[in-house]
Amino acid sequence: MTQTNSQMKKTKNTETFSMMVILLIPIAIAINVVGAQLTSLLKLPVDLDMIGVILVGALAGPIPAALAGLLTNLVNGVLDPTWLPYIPVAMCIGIAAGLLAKYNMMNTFWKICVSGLVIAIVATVTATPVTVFAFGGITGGASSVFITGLMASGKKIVESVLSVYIFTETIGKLISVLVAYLIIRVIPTRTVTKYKYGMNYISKN
Amino acid sequence: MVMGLIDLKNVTYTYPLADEPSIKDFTYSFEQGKFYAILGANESGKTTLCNIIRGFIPDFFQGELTGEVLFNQEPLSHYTLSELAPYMGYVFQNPFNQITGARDNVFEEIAYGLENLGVAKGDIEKQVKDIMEMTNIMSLADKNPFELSGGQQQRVAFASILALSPDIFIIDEPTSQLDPQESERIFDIIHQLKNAGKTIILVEHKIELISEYADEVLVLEEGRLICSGKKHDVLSDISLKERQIDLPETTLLADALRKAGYNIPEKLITKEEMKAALMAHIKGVSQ
Amino acid sequence: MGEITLPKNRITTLYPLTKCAFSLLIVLVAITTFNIYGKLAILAAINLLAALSGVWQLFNQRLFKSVGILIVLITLLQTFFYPGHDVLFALGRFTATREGLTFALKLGLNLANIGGAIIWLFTVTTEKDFVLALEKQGMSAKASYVVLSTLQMVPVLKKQSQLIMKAQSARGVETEGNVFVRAKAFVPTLIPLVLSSIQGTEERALTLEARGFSLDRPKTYYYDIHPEPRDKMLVTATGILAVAYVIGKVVYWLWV
Ligand SMILES: Nc1ncnc2c1ncn2[C@@H]1O[C@H](COP(=O)(O)OP(=O)(O)OP(=O)(O)O)[C@@H](O)[C@H]1O
Ligand SMILES: [Mg+2]
Repeated sequence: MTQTNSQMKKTKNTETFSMMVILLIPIAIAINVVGAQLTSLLKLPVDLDMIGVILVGALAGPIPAALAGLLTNLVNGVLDPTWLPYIPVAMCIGIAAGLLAKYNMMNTFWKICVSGLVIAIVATVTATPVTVFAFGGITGGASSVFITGLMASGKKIVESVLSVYIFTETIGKLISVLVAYLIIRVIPTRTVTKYKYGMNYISKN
Repeated sequence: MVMGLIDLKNVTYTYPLADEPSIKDFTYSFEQGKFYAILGANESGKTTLCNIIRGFIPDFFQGELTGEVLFNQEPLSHYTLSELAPYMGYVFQNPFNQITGARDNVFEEIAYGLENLGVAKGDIEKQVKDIMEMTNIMSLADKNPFELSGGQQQRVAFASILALSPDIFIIDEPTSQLDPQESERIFDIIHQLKNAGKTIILVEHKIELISEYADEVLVLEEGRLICSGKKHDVLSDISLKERQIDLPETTLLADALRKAGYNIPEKLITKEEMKAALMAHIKGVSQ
Repeated sequence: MGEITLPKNRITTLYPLTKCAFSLLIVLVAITTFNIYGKLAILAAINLLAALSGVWQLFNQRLFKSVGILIVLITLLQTFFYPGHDVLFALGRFTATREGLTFALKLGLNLANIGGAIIWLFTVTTEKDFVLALEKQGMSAKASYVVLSTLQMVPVLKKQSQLIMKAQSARGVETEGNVFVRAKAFVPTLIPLVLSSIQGTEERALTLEARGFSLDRPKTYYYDIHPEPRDKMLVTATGILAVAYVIGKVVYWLWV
């Protein structure tokens, strides 16, 4: 008697928290930390500390990505509590990236640009109030120089923060989505396809 | 067919998106308490076969599996992957990936599986200490597992599975990062496991060690079982040499001697056997 | 992160959740105190707590590294740029105002107090203990695995990234120069790093299964911590204090 097992548990990798996702999140958080470290080491004027979160969103969807965002800021926040007020920002970036992946918006150049913009807008809209209310506009981050400049020229705090963030976030998140995409393209097919949205990134030839 | 501990019947398996099966029409019965060695060239399907036996295929890898995989005469798919942990231990090929990341020192890393099984604390303590002594890693107890060398990680990975004391050990190239002395020690432990009645399925390239310790040998070629049986039958088969399978020195030497016209007994595979045969031959000549 | 050995004393050996309750109480008081002197008093109290825990120096080092520099920056900038009329002094065409200084001090003290409460907590508590306490409180084993392995992964990848950076500058990839040159070094550093760790996830997932990770049965904790009677007492006391504080605050507001 021959029995076919191939139908069994076919739904495994669509589980929100499959083992593959559980193992991806720590790596993603480490990518965020290394990304932040590299930007400061290379003295780049944009924040590239959410690449891991975007990567999780692109592969596994909004909920794991939100969790990755939450944990990134918690783990960093233990030593540097200024990360903590930005928890909602990181989670929203994750949710945005995850939803964009769900609607297959991350697998061609122009779609990546659109996704980068959408994520940048989400980041700007959520980060501005935090920067303004928790820090009065100055966070010591890469964008602080520009924000202070605008404040010095007489602009209101909100206005200064918003106009600088729109600019830095657009560049930062475009690069981040692009890097996340490049990462996905170099991961072997057999691994990528074990994630919920992995099939979206496999070219069919 | 005799029912064994693990039975595979006409198993064919294709990975997702693959064009061709990686295991083709594989039938074999693995019996309790025997030591099986799996040989084959690179990419011949050794790891894939191990994954099928452990149930990682199709559960984790998905793809298309046909045929039957039975564990104690029951379909393996009746168990979840973790449920099999106390029965089937699996040591993977890459040492670094076998560090769980859940614990920050070697002692607790080895204890982790026992913690998950809910073993009592005192028993864990004793078990882990014994295993660490056996695998010669006592000195690493407080080290961070991520900061070890490849060889040390490989021993920690092996110890972590030994600690679970499963009935069946599936071991995929456990000595790839070890020096000859450490490799010998691992084989020594495997031998002890066999004497304790454990079933062992081992993928290994170190053919001399296999010729000494294994009971049966299976040879894979492009996913097909091309040869299998008692080690003396398989490893003395000189025709395997043409199929890129490493054979023991003794087999090659015996073949050369036979070709040179000497009358050497059949089915010699270990150095000891060769030595005995040569001694007998020399004695015969001197008389 | 766990390289520093904690002094063992009556405070550091408290159960993590007890210390967490203290920390939360401080945060609660900090965000509801608007008076500068009140804020200063809180900062003094946190320092006292840190001193009593035997970690005063380490605590202040960490506080300074995370929010100290930021506070200096904020004070300097806000004093000059915050809109205000009550001029304190002028530097060239910029004027320092009392409103700016007050705003900066309040903001700075808030950061120091809230940040300080959290930094104190994780100076006297290892992350490992904290996660274990949460797991025993009902957090899922999967969640605690994610946190614990993150704490392990981060230093591993950091170290690897430094190695890759070194190897690259040895191979002539520029890590100095203008923004574009430097930006170009980013991708070739990050990608190999990520690739090597993501490639291992399949085997590590199965390693976990082979160690019974997904088993649905009570686990043993070989390394274990337990709340003691004093912990229960202290948490209850902290809770009562918090409630009393909130009631007092509300009554005070309604009164005035
Ligand atoms: N996860 C996977 N997804 C798709 N194909 C795979 C996967 N793992 C292995 N293969 C393919 O299956 C075939 C058999 O591979 P397998 O790893 O089982 O060989 P092996 O004998 O263990 O090789 P090695 O000696 O290199 O360890 C190869 O063609 C390989 O490319
Ligand atoms: Mg293999």
